Amino acid sequence: MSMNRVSLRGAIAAVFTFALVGLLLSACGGSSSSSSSTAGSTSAETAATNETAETTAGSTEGGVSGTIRMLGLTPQEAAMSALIEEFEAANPEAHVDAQYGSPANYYQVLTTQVQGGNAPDVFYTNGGIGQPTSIVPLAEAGKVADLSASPWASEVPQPAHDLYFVNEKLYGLPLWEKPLGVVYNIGEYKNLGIEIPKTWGQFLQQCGQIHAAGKSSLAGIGANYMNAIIPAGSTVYAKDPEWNAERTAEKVTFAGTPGWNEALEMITEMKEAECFQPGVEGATIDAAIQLMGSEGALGLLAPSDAIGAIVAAGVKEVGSFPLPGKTAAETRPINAYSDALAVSASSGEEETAVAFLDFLAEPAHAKHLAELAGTISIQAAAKGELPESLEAYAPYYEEENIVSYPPDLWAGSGSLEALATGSQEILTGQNDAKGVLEKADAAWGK
Amino acid sequence: MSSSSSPVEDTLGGTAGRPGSRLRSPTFRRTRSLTGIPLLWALPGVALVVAFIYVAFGAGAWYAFTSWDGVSASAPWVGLDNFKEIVNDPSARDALWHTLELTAAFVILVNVIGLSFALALNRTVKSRNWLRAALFAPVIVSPIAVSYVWQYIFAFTGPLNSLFGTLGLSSWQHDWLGDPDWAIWTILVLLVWQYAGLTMSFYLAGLQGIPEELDEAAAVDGASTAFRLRRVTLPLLAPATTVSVALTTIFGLRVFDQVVGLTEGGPGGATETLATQVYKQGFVQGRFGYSAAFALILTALVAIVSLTQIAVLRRREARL
Repeated sequence: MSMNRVSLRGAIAAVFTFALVGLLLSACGGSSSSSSSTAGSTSAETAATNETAETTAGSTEGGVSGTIRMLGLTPQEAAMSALIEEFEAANPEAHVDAQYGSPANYYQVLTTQVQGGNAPDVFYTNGGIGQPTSIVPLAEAGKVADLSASPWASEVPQPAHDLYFVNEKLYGLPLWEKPLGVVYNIGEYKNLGIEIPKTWGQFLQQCGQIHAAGKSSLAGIGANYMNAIIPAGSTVYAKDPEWNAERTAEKVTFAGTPGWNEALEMITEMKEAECFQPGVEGATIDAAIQLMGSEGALGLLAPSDAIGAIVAAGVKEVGSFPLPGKTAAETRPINAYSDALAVSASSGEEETAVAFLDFLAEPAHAKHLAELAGTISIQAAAKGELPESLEAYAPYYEEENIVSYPPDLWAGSGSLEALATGSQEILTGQNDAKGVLEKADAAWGK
Repeated sequence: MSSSSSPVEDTLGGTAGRPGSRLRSPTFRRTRSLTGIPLLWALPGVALVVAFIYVAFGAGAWYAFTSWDGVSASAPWVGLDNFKEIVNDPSARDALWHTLELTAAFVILVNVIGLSFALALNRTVKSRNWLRAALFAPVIVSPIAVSYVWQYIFAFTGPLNSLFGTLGLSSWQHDWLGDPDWAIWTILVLLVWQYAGLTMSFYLAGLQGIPEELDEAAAVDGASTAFRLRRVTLPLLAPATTVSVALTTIFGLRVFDQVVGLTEGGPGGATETLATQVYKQGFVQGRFGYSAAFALILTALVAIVSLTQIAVLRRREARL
C-alpha cells in the first residue's frame, strides 16, 4: 500500500514536470522562430514584407486610426509633443505613444529594440551610414519601410539623397535642416556690451572679456566630437569639399590633413584663452545645459536644435551663429540633414505610422516643428526663409556656402568616437592634435 | 514491523528493512538519492539554466568569431581576427590593465574595511544593529542610480568641492572625474563605499560562528588583542574570507555601472574597462562580433582568476 502511494506521487510529479518543461520549450521555440523570420528579411524582400505586414489600423472618415509607438530624442520632446497633439487632433481615432531617450544612450536603446524584433512603429534615427542604426544600414537589413510613394519624396534635397535613398528607394523622412555653430545667450552678451564675434581672433578675445566678468564664453563638454567637427567646417571642408570621398578612397588621412590638425588645435587655443568653464574635461551635456541656464556660460558648441533645451533651461534670448573661421570669408557653417524619422518594416500599424510622417512633412507642420526645435524646415530652407534665431546663417544658405554634416557619410562610427574621446584627451593634456587624428584614422570604418 | 529497521524502511514495507537486506546497502541508498523524484524536480531549473545561461553563452561565443553588426541578417565568419585585433589594440590592453588595477585595489580595500566594520560591530556596541543596517544600505541601492548621484557629488562645481571651499581647503578642490590620474581612484571610492557593507556581512557571519570561549581562553592566557586577532580570529575566518575575496574579485573584474555612471570610460579612455569595451564596441560602434570577443576574454579572465583564487584559499583553509 505504501509503495503504491509513493509510486503514484512519483508518477504525478513526473507528469507535472514534463508538462512544465514542454511548455517552456514550446515557448522558446515560438519566440525563436519569430525572431529568425525578422532576422531573415533582406532589402530585396522589403517590398514583399511591407505588402504582407498585417495592419490592424485603417482609415476612417476622420483620418487614420490606431495607436503607434514612437521613440524620439529627449531634446526634441517639446517640439515633437506639440506636433503629436496636432496630429491626434486631426486624427481623433489615432494615438501616438511617444517615449524619448537621452542622446547619451539613445542609439543603444534603439539597437536593442531593433535587434530584439521590438522596434517602435516610428523612431528617430540619422540619415546616412554613420551609425549602426542609421537609415542606410537599416534599409539594407530590411528593418525600415519603403517610403518612396510618399507625397513629400520629391522634396528631399539633392545633397541629402545619399543619406535617405538606397537603390533609388526612400527610407526616411528628413525632419529639418539644422546649422551647427555656437548657440549664444544673446541677452547676456548685450548686457555685457560684447558683440557676437565674426573672426577667430575676435572669438578668443571675447573669451577673455567674458572670463573677466566671472563667466565662461562656452559651456564646454569634454568628450564631445562637436569640438572637432564644427571648426572642421571652415578648416577642412571649405577648402576641400570632397574630403569625405577622398578619405573613403584612402587618398587622404585625418592626420595628414592640415585642416584637421588646425581644427583640433583650436580646442587647445580655446582652452588657453579660458573660453571653457573650469572642469570642462569631465563635463557632460546635461551639466553644460544647466550651466547655460544659470548663465555661468554664455555659449554652447552645438547644432541649432540645442536652442530648445537652452530655452527650456531658462535662457530668454537665444540665437545660433557660425563658429568663426580665421577670417569672416573663411567661415563655413555645417548644415545637417541628419535628423530623420523612419517607419519600422515590421510595424503592425504601418498605415498610421506613414500617415504621421506625411502629416509632419506638410509645409505648415514642418515649419512649426522646425521653429519649435530651433531648426529650419526643408521647404523654408529652399526658399531662404530662416527663423529669427538662425538669421545669421542666411547669407551662407543663399550663397550655398554651407558644408553638409560630414560624419553622415563616414564609414562606421569609430572615427567619430575617436574624435569625441580625443577632444577630451586634448583638454586633459593626455594627447595632442596629431595623436588624436592618428587614432581617428585607425578607427576609420570600424 | 521490525524494531531494528528504520522508519524509511518501514515505509517501504515488510521484509525489505531487515539487516542484510538490499535496502540497507549504502550503494542502494546512494543510488536512490541520485535518481528518481529529486532529479525530476531539479529538471525544470536545470533546463532554465542551460537555456538562458549556457546556450546563450554559446551563441554569444559564436558571434565572437564573426563580424556581425547587430542589425544585418548575416554574420560573416572571420575566425580569430577579432582576437588578433584585441591583442594588437593599445586601448584594449589599457582596458585590461585598468580592470586589473581597479580589481586589485577594490578587493584589498573593501575586504579590509568590511572586516574592520565586522570586528567593530560583532559584539558589545549598543547601536550595532542600527549601524549594521546603515552600513549595509548602500549595497541594496541600484549601482547606476548611485553612480549618477556620485557624479553630481564629484563634479567640479559639485558639493564635494564646495565643501572643501567652505572649510578653507580650496587647494583640495579638484576635477575628480576629469583628471585622468584621479578618475579611476574616484570610481574606486564609490565601489568601496557601495560594497563594504556586503563584505562586512560576510565577516559578521563568519565571526558569529567562532566560539567566544576560544577568544576568552586566549585572553586569560595573556594574549594581546592583536595576537588573538592574528592567531585565533583570522584563521577561523578563513571560510568567510574565501567567499568574500572570491565574490569581490568577480565584482571588480566585471565592474560596469559605476564606470558608465561616473566617467563613461573617460577622460580620454583613462577608466575604460573590459566591461565598458564590451558595451561600447557592441552598442555604440555596432561591432557586435568584436564586442563578443571582448566578452569572451572577460569571461575567461573572471573564471581563471576566481577559480584559482578559490583553490588557493581553500588549500589555505585546509592547512589552518
